[in-house]
Amino acid sequence: MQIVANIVFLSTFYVSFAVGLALVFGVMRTINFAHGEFYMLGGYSLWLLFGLLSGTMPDGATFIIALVVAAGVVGTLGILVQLSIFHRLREQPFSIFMATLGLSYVLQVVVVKAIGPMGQSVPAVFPGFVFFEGMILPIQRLVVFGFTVVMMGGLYLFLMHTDLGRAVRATAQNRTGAMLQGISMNHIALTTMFVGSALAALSGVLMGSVLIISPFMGGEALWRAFIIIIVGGIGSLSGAVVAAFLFGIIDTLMTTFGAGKFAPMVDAMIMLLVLSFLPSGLLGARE
Amino acid sequence: MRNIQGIPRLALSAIAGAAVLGMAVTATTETVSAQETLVVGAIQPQAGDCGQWGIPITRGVQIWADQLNAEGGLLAGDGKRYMIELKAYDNVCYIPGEELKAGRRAILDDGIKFMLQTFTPGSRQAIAQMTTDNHVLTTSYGAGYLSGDHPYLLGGITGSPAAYMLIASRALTANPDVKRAAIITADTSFGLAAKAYFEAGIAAHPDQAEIVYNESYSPDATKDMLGLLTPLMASEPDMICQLGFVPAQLAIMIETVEQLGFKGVYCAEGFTMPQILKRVTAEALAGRMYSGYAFEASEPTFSEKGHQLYKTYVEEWGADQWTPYVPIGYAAFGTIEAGIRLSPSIDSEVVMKTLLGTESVDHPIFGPSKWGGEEIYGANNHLLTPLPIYNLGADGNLVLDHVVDHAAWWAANMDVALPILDAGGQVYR
Amino acid sequence: MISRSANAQANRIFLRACIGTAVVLPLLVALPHALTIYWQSVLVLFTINAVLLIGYRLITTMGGWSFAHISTAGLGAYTTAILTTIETPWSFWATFILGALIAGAFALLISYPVLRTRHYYFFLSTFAAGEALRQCYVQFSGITGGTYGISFIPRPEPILGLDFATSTGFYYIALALAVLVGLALYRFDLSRLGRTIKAVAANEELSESIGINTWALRTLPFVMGSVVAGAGGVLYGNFNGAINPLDFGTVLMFKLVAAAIVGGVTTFFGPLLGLLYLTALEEIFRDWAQWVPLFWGVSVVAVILLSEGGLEMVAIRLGRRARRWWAGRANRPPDGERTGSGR
Repeated sequence: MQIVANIVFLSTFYVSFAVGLALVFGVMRTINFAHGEFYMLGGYSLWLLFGLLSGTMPDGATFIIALVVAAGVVGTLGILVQLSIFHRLREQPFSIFMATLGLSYVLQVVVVKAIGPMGQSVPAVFPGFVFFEGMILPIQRLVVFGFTVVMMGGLYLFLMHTDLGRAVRATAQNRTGAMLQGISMNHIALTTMFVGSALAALSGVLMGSVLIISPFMGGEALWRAFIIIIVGGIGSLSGAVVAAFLFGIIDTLMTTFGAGKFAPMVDAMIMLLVLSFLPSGLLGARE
Repeated sequence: MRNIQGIPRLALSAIAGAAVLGMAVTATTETVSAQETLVVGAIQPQAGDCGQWGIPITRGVQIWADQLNAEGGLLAGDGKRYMIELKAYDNVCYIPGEELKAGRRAILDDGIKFMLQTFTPGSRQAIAQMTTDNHVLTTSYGAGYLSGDHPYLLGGITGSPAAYMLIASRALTANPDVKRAAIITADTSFGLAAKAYFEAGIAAHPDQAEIVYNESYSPDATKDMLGLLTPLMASEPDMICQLGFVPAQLAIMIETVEQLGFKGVYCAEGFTMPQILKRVTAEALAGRMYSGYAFEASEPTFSEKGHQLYKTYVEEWGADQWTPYVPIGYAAFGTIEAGIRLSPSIDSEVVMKTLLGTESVDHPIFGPSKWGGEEIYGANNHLLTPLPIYNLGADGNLVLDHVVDHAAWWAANMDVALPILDAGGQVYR
Repeated sequence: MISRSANAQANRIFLRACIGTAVVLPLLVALPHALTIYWQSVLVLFTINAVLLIGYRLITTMGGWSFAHISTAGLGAYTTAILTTIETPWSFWATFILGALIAGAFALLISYPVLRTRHYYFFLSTFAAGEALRQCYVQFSGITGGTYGISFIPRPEPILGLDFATSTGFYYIALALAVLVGLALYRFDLSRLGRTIKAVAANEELSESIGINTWALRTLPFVMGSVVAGAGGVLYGNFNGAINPLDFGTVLMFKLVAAAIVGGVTTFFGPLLGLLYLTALEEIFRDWAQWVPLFWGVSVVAVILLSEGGLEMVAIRLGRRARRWWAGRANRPPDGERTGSGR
């Protein structure tokens, strides 16, 4: 039964990280390689605020403040990236990829020089366990799971029930059609980058409370997220969620049965297989 | 119109380029001191994920050089004092091809004659021929790969991977009730080496313990510690031997298995206590954590000189940046330091021959140590320094548990350990 | 008729390129003798990377940015490493051919899934394919040496009295390969087939509707480029003398893609300009290893933002301006009087 809990926890992580990337990829049709570093900055927000506020208020409050601060700061950074890189290089997706790769290196070095190369961890904000049906469930993990669900719910409401969100969805599904509807691409791009970057930062705060916060934590998470959004399908957030669970199940099972070292190979093969038969991913629209 | 717009852009590019070049030129023309200077090299990751190991190791070597320079320079066997200047070279993340690139820069371009590199066999083999052809005495914090054909490669201290064997063995000796050992290592070349050496250390106690879990994990899988450790805990171990996690990951591993009810002992090359104590209390872990790599400089009794390294490091970089990896390059350079002190000339060939020709080398940290390694590497180029093993005190500080005489341990257990190392692909003779 | 005159024009351009190469070649041959042993090794690696890039650019002409190029090159490196270090070792020259062919065969094999995808999908699916291949280097340790890799790979045996054990000798192999492959692919680029491939990349649906076999026209450059990668990989593995799965990971792949982006791929020389720029950056900043990623990032972003289409466009604009300036001077009458009839 513990396996089920592990699958849920791992998939939660994949979902929270990949959804922001999928949103940006869907709308902008390009990859923000610095997404991983935005996630890393979220983690460091938590770490810094813990250092700053520890003792002055309950840890839970610090955690909430970190979520808000990280989303605001990193979302703003996303807007700056949109204005300085994405907008100027529009229609050149690979130049954007390379420029954001350059940006990700810059952010890593800045953090290494400002804080240090050593990975950090923060103490559990919500320590303790729940034992349920033979499963051991760390409360911290449950909290992260809960917040991820809330985050996804908020995103869902935004995309489904606000005009701006509907415009973002329309753009992701059909760019030309959206433009013909009079939707301002600049406006949509700014919104998407803010939301996508803020999601990365939120994911960083959430996972920073259970994982290691290091200047390089973004890089390793990013490649897996690429595989997830490709298998899920371009522009499809629900596809990304499905794929996140798919790989959460596969990776957990492989680790449990002693084949963890083959996981990167198997994941890559699965992606190739999916693309062989469904070139636009599980739930993606045909380009 | 396009041209008018184009001009400032071109000009801007040119200015940016010129600025970059200008910075490079001003920085390379720094003043050279009048005294004789010995330039030494350290090939370590200087950026990226592996910088978590490489940067502290490089800082440790820099402090080694600073300490000697503060004494007015290293007093060599030729009677002169030499100021030490350190140059760091990036091998990205212990990538052998990059090791070679860094080695070319150090050896072919900068003419380095004394240097430090990592112990992983792939990286040592990649530059083995170059060190031999150019007479570059190359130390490492461990042996990894040595060869009679490449006498300039030294195993500077006991270090990796030999220490893993000694730690596992010591933990079993000190805890006779431990019976079920789990080994969890990274699926990397150094992880696989550690796996074999842990196995060999446990095999030296055939009547006491068996291995109940022994798996390699992909470094990718570390973001899901709970998933990774569930099968390990299912094997109900009372000893966990780990290698491959970065310090903060190790802290999370310990927290997780403690939460899952683990009560046994831990073996690892080093524990970064500031990180671990944020998650688990010292009282809970006291007496259960066995580690040893070079020496733990935060512990004052083993080496007074070495403890100074800790003080200097913490003063400069902060206590939360301290890791057990800081002293390993420092200690490995101690072997070259000992060689230069003994040798009648600082010519690297003479230093190499003097050093290898000395039966008992007086290491500045570990004291008298003998050469070994013949059975594993076919060459006695591994300095078998005594290995201090540490445990955790109730106050959260690491305390000296025991000092293992590496040479004596090997003589007593070689017959059992060697076949296991061979099966693990660790024998190079 | 039209195609024949286009062909004649292509021949003329190609002839000019050949003459240009013939003029520069003596300089390139003499170059290592003016360099220290370290810079010779930099030159050799530069030339090998140039071979890899020439192959890479061919792949980009069909509209896809492959991320499997370096893993594929690894097949060449592993072929030569394994076969020249077994008990009855093969000749290096035999492994050279075989390594290139194996790389091409792999490309053909994965072309079915990956060429069904476009744009970023192609990029990411080739990444997955390349990573799967790289994981094979790690996991099939019985023949590849796993994470330990293979060491002490012997240098090529001499032919016709030429010794390849030194960096200079090895450089001539790399240079010969770069020149031959470069000229061959340049001619291919100018040919009708090469132009059709680019046209297909620009508008696949249209090409399909007028009966062009787009599948074949996408597979061909992918496989050809991979054969070149395999040949470059053989040289890479052999020159270093030691290979490891880590050598064929993202570090070198990023460098190639960055060279292609920074330089631009419209022209043949663009990627090489990019490679020159990145290599210079690496060498200049090597004493500030901890800052290198920052310099790398800032300068790559700056070049991409400022150059408008890569360094090749900067070079073209500069060339155009120089020509105009030259023309302006030539138009000036000898007595220095301004005619006022300028453009």
